[in-house]
Amino acid sequence: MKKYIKKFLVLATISIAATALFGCKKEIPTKKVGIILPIEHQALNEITQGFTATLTSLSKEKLDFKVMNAEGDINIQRAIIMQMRDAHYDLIVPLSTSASQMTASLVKEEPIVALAASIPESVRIPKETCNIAVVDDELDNNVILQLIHKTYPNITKVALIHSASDKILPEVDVVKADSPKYGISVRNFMVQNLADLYSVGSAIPDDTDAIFILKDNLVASGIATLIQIAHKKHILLITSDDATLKQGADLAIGVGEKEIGIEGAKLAAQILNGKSPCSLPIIKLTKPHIFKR
Amino acid sequence: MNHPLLEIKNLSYTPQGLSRSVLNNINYKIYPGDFVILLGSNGSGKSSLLKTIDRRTEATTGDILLSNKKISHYSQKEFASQVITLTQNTVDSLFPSLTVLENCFLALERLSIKTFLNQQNPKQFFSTHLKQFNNNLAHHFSTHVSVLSGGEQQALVLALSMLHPPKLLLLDEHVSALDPKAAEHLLKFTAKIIDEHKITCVLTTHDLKTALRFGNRLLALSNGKVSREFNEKEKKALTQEDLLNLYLPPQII
Amino acid sequence: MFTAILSQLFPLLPLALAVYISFFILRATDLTLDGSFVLGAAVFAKMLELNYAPMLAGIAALTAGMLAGTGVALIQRKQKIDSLLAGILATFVLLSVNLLIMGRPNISLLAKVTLVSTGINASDLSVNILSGAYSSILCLGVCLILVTRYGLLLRAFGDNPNLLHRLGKNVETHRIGGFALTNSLAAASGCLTAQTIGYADIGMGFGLTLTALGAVILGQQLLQKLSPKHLLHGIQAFAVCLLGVAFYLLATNGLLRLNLNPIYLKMVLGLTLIMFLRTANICTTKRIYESPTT
Repeated sequence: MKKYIKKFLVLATISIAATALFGCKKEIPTKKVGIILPIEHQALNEITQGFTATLTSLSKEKLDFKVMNAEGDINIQRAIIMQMRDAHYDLIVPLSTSASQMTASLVKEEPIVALAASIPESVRIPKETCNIAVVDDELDNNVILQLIHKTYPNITKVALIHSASDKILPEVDVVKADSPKYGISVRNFMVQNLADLYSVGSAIPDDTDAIFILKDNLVASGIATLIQIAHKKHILLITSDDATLKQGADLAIGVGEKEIGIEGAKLAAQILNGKSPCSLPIIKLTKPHIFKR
Repeated sequence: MNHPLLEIKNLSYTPQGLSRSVLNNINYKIYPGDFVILLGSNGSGKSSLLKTIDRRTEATTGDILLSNKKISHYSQKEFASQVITLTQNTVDSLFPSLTVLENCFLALERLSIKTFLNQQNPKQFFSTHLKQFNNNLAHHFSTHVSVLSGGEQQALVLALSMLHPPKLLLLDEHVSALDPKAAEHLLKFTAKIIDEHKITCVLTTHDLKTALRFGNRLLALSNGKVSREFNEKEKKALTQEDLLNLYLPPQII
Repeated sequence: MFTAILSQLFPLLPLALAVYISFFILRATDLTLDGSFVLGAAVFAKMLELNYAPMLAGIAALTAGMLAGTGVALIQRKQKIDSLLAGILATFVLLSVNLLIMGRPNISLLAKVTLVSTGINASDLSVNILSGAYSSILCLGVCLILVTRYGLLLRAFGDNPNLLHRLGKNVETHRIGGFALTNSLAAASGCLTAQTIGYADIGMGFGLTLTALGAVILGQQLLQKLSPKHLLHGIQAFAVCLLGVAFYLLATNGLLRLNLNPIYLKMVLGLTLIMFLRTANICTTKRIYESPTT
């Protein structure tokens, strides 16, 4: 029995390798668009939705979207990008800065539309093939408090709840350093995991005017808890992600995720119509918008 | 009078967390050339005594002097070249997943490696050396030690320790895991080697025949204390009956 | 597809070797390698950003890996904390250290002249050749160390540290040496990866040690099938890593090209590995888990 399983395994591997080698030259009747997500994330899914919906309505040709998620593994991400490159996709769309950087370094010929990525002109222009168009969404953390202040001038005490993530900690510092300018005092509360959220949230002082969270995956996934706490304490809940408004947050400050996808689709449509990616300007969505319920 | 090679002074050992002491105020002297039989039932403390002599466990109170110097004052390297223990667990003395040849090279690490390697072709040297102990070993240079039989492993341990004969050899029931025939063979062979190299030796056993056949002195332990001592003359006169009486203290019967 | 696989293979090879040495020679479950991988990338990227020469940055990355390894070994000193726990603790520390070094979560290397590329317009061929050269030289060098007396001592350390101590050797220096070696290999891997993908990112090491371990176990099974005879230890280590990583990449790329959704990729690979291990005569793995007292 074991021998058969072994033989089966060997045969299976060989056939997989063989079909993979010879099976990639298929006739493509439509334009192929490959979308690369580095990791599972609600915001990335919204960008993708905005992108595919808009591009489908803008394009005259039939499009074949291929959405691939690397699940946080850079080896798989690299394999996905190389596969799209070798299969000569008509357009490759990486989401996030790191996926875009990887695509930029691996793909020389096929046009790229980098979404939610900060790839500066200094990188894009010197590239001989110059095959990248960019929608940049890196938020300017300095203006977040300014916007809060503008919307709610009476706020003086803000509780910033954040995770211990490496992406978030520097942003917390920026926000805290910026706060005195607007007469706001920011106290930060760190949560290690989702289970802490309720106890940490309940521990914020009663004289706090608002709870504020950044674009922080861990905390955002426990938004329901914070909504409950804010409601109990009769204070505001301000987030950085417009999707939370539907769930009950009072105010969201940030770039609309859908908007990133829509802007990207506009670029993509021009590229599919024959324009060079390089001739298109880098779209900057760095200005946060205020989303109110 | 001859200086003792090993001197045990008021030695006691109580393991952490245990209220009763495993070794209790032991005093004993071992002279160069002695072959001491350490006799005792299970739990009498004979293994603990050897472990303490070999620095595997640390005494709670008392001193052990090797050549008039406290054993704790030796560097590990100096000590390793003078005292060697063989136990029934060959894993204590071998690297099980390395090959026979690799174990040979590693055994040289306790000595100054250059003296050996520069003198001749090391493989040739090991081959002749191993052949004195077990004919098979020399043909299995690239075999993993864990695959060897128990007898072969013990022969290898003995061979490796005789690359540079130690001053003091401690045999902690090193044959008890073997079948009777192999055990008998190895025991005889060990005695022969000890005799040839004039090595001072301590052998623990609970086998009365072994206790009578080998050694020139006998030390009987019970409950961590020295229960009887026999010198060369007294030991020769001993019978199996006498030893049995040592084993079965009246209060138990 | 073969060039695609080759270009993915070279940066991963040193990590696989690091995993091989730490799991099969030092017998330690060293999860620090994830962190050291990022550390290598982080140090290299930061040094380039500060306009140091690429060669110097590369050496600094290796040194940083060595220091990380020394740290993990020191945590475990005298068996006070076991290697798994020490690795987890060290990974915690390294997360902050990496962020501190980089100053932000992501540094782009796209427009930089690195060890393997002359900037953004470098040809794929030259990048592959250069990264292949660095990776192979490094790995073969380490494999050479494995066949020397020092390599023998490292293996002795992994096999029976107590006996090594009794032979009068300092166990701790060998622990430090071994961990410094593996972690600098992981750092080299991170450094090469960052150069081939164009950036260093704080999250780029996620789960890599386990992936590499899977690949190495696969390689070991494959090698056993191909040549059951014992090879010289250094050659065997190299062959196992090369085979394992190549097979892993062949499978990943092959399955992706067959339109398998990447979400199922790890599951398929995991199940394949389980079947491999169940059906194989688990000699080599048995040796690791077998209690040595028999």
